Amino acid sequence: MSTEQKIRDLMSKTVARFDGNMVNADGLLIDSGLDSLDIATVLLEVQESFDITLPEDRDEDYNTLAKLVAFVDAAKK
Amino acid sequence: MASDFKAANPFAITAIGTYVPEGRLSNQERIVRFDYDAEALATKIGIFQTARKAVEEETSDLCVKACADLAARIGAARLDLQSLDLIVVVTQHPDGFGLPHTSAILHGKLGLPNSCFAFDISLGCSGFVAALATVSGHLMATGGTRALIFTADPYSKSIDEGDKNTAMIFGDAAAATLIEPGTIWQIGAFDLGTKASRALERDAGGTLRMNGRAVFDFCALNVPGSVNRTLAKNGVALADVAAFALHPGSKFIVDTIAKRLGIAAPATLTCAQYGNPISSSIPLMLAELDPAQARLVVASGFGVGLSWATTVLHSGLYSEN
Repeated sequence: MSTEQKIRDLMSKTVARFDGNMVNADGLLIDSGLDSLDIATVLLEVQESFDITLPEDRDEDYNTLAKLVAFVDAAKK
Repeated sequence: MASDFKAANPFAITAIGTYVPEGRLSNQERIVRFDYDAEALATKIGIFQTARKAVEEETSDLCVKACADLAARIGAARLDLQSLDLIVVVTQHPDGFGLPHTSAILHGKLGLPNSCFAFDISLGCSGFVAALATVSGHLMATGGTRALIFTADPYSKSIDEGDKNTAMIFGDAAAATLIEPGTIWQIGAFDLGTKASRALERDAGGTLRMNGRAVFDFCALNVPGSVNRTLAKNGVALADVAAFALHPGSKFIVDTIAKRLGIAAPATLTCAQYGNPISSSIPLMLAELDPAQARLVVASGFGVGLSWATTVLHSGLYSEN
């Protein structure tokens, strides 16, 4: 399964009444129907699922799904 | 079983006085200004009003009022301020510019004897539990027997009321906790730690700023482990715990930690009507517990630093029920 699909599935699993498959990959996560606390939960799950760290001072590097996927893939290498 | 608890620490929390200023700011009004969702306020923030001290009230004044409440609860003769060996004030918002230390100012306001030592502890939300370790250790090292831990950290001194990340969360309050030999609540072994971060800081202008995601990550990733390590150190099981005094950073944080621990999350935060009072949160929660019912309590504070401090408290009082 691709990193992007894994993250979409994590969104659906983590956030109540939310379908991760509906997220526009290039849109800001905060504009996708997730509030800041939902995003915090998703990012925590991403870190634990992929065993990576999303640095607290680099939010702009993963504020869209596409950027998040790229960051995760780079961090896994 | 809770009765297997063995306190290595001879000191206990024997009484708690509290003070919450009457002034309130409504989050119901704030969410209109901040364009914030009412359901999220209830289910994720879990705080509906934040207490605000009067402008002229100093940090030491909040402590004096908490001490007056303590005297009212147990009697001035039982409190016996003249017999205290130590007072500490847990704060990062001291009187004036922080020098002299707030505990020394408070020492004067309470008319304490010269033989009573006083110092401040610069910690935030982990400060109360950390102070239990510091104060009991100090008493053991010096041969003292009685101390008061004051917690008073009025974040209103540095909050930007236009910042929804902080204004809707933090409230002003104080507590005065009497430490002396006793059986309620006996203080157990500790788990403490620090992960250096500026996720919660005062900026160059002196205004409080918070990276909510970083604080959330820290809490979710570190506090459940701290609780489990503390239980193991004290030889008790999760099922033995009668009450959890988890610092109410927000309902979302408490719910997340509870889920990761596999325990029921509280329906509402105890601080829902006055806000997260930083280091005073745990004594305010303990003050509402019946020691005859809540025989074993896990107390865990976590926040600025970032840091955590966790212990187990054991009540020697047993209900007849």
